[in-house]
Amino acid sequence: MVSEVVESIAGHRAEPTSVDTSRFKNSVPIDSDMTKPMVSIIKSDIPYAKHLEFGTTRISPRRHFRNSRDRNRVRVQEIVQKNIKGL
Amino acid sequence: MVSEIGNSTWLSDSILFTRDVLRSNITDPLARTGSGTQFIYTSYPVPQSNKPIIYPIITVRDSNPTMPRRLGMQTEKVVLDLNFEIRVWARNEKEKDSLSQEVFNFLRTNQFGTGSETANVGMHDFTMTSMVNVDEPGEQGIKSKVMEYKYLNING
Repeated sequence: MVSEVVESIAGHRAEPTSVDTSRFKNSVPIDSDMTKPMVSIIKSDIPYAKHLEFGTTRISPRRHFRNSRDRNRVRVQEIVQKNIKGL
Repeated sequence: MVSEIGNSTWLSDSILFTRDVLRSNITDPLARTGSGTQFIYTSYPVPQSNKPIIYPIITVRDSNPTMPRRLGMQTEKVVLDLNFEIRVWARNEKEKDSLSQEVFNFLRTNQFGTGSETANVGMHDFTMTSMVNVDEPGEQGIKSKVMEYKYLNING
């Protein structure tokens, strides 16, 4: 899922690329933030990440995170179900 | 106003219905009148030199609708998750929160009844899935609240 977001930022998915200095692309960590069991947070701490994702009065939204989430929702559910069955 | 979400026109029907019902029930802080001076739109504002954008405005767009399941093996009916993004673009924090609250309150209380409530047009299970602040810097920066709502529709 994290790599999906990074690929989206790099312009390899439907969204336009958001890479200039790669600061934003590199700000999404390789491993998602596992703060609790069964909870994974994929985020960027860059101050302007929110503006790129949602857009502003000057730029169109890029939707890297939301589109990646929605494109992979079924796949993530299948992975979780498969791992639960294996327990 | 759309009176029912059509099976073959659900995408536009749902967005236009939501826009129109909000236009009829959310108070424009500027009380704009006249053609071309709407308060609620279905697309993001595009700055043009000959037509400045007058804030606050509200935009209503679809946000990746999904089809979580079919309704049986021998039927073409399906369940649709109609996801909307309703964004308040305001001049200050107070206006942003006030309008967002008004939108939520209205949508929550406009589910059931005998008129143009959402259940009557085919939009069920109202859910607010997220509310995110996206504020542009500076005192003159536009303050936005991006709200995501979801309704369920039986299609087919």
